[in-house]
Amino acid sequence: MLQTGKSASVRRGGPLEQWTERHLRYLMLAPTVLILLALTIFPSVYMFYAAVHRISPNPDLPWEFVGAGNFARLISDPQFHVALRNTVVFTIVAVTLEFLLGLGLALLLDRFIRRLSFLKTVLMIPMMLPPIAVAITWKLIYEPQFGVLNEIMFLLGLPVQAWAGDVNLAMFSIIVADVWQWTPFIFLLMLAGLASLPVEPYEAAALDGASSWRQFWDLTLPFLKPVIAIALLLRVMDALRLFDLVFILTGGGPADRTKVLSLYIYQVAYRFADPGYAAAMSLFVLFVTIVLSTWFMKRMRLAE
Amino acid sequence: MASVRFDNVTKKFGEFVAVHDFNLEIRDKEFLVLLGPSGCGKTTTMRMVAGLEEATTGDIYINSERINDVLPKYRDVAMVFQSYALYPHLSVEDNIGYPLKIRKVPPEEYKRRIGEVARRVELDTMLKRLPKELSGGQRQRVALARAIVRTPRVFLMDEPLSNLDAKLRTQMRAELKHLQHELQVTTIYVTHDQIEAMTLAHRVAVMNRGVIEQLGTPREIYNDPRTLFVAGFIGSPAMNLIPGEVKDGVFASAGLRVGGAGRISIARAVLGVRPEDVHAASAEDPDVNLVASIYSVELTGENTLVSLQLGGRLMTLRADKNFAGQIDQRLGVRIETDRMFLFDAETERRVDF
Repeated sequence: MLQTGKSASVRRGGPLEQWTERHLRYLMLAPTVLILLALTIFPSVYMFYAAVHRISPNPDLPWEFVGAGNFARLISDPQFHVALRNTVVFTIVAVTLEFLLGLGLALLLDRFIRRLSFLKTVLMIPMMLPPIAVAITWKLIYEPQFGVLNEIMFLLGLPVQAWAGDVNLAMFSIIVADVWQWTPFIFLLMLAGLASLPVEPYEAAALDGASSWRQFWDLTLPFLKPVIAIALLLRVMDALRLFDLVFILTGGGPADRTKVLSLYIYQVAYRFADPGYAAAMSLFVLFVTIVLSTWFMKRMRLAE
Repeated sequence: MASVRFDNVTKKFGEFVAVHDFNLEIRDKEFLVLLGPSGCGKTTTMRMVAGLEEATTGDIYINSERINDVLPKYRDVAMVFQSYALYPHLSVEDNIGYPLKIRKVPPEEYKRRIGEVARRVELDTMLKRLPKELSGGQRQRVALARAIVRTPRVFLMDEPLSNLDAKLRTQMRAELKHLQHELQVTTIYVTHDQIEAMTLAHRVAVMNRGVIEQLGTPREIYNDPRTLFVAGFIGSPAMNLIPGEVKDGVFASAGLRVGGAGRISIARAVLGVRPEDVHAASAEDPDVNLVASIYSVELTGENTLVSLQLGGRLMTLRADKNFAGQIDQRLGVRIETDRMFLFDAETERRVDF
């Protein structure tokens, strides 16, 4: 305790105690700061550094400074364009489906079966599973010979499919798995949003003559707007980084149909041994994500 | 043009009976106030007209049409909510215009009607603002404007003034009364504020525990209360209610004797007399009904409220503003016997004499 008397200032406690008292907060923050430095800040800075160099797989050779050269390659690399297109398609389709399903489920649960809280728990399970477990589960489901999906197709008399191996189905299969895993996330956020809606505007709207459908468009959607913005933002950011499902289910194939940016970056870095270019691509994804989220946030604040 | 009728309407929430066997006819163009303490069923009664609550049993009519099974949006009633229930994301203009938008009113008429109504409630300079940018009084006027922008068959008002400060409330009360007179729309108004009820209503229905205790004009309710509840609820300061006994037309309670009640006898009686019907007199005056010591003296401006100690309770009288008595001073009291009421404490009903 530091005491400042009116007439004479009195010191209590030894110098060590005084020092600890004053610096304790820094001591307690130190481990976090160190971890952050080692795991986030250093790699980020290193990535910027790597992105402007050509790095040979031979560790004896020095890094060659290429300036914006790696970024210029992005423009002319057809593989990158494929990966970018696949990522955009995946993000738009998957997040749209997740949003519509999540919101739909939330509206349904909120209105009709509010009391069935066990159902909420069941619906949340996919989100709680580790991504690799989800990917492996879906790999088993999609497995052409003994997978349960083809079993069902066979029982129904429908043609069996190579779900993850068919050029036309592979992306669809990945989207289905992602929708399965992440719809609950949207659902949960929407449910929380719905639970916090005020009652009176709805009563007023009912008396003003609005049908349930009108009430949904004129009241529920505007009320949910901030929650929707957050949910979409988080999902889009995550979808742009999709890796596990693709890595386990298709490995980017067939014929690059499911090759997404994260996977391509991984391949460039570790298979084609070109970490400089991979770093440049990572920075590009980071840039896109930042631009998108900033735009989203701005829109959200405008709405308020 | 609309009258509203309740036929034996009961509303239960689970086991709790909110409104019990309710019968009432609200006449066309009438301003009817449902008055009562919180939990007396007045808001529930009104919400049943709106269609926001369903009657458990009984029938509700607007004109000759039974509306129990009519959706709220087809009832053509407008409601002003206690919390105003504005649409927070819509501007003042869009809030007021929402009922018109739903009815697909053509743009020119839409503009014209919003302009008209906004001018009437003095909001025409703030049409572009959002509700959160308005003061309480302004929000209240938006709610009002939204209700009057289409001419509904019935106005329902759920304590619309209770969130306003005292000065604004008085002002809006006058506005409401004038507006209803001008629009000639049947109005049901819910309040727990007896001043609002007295000043606004053509007729007041005083409710208690889900039933109407008394229905009548404000004057009847004030001058002729039929039950102990109505007597105690209406009037400010409240009517003095003093328990005692009536024998051969003479009411007696600790230190107080009042004659003039004919020849009736009531074993457990309550004397009711309003503060303005109790007069201060000299303690030596032989005609006084009571001599008691003054407990407190409160000058209200227009007159003085004097509380006297009577047994274990206080009796209030309204004295002249120049009243000079002091606390603990002995004071004589004369009661206007033709303005007093006697109630049977068992039935809580008035006993005429």
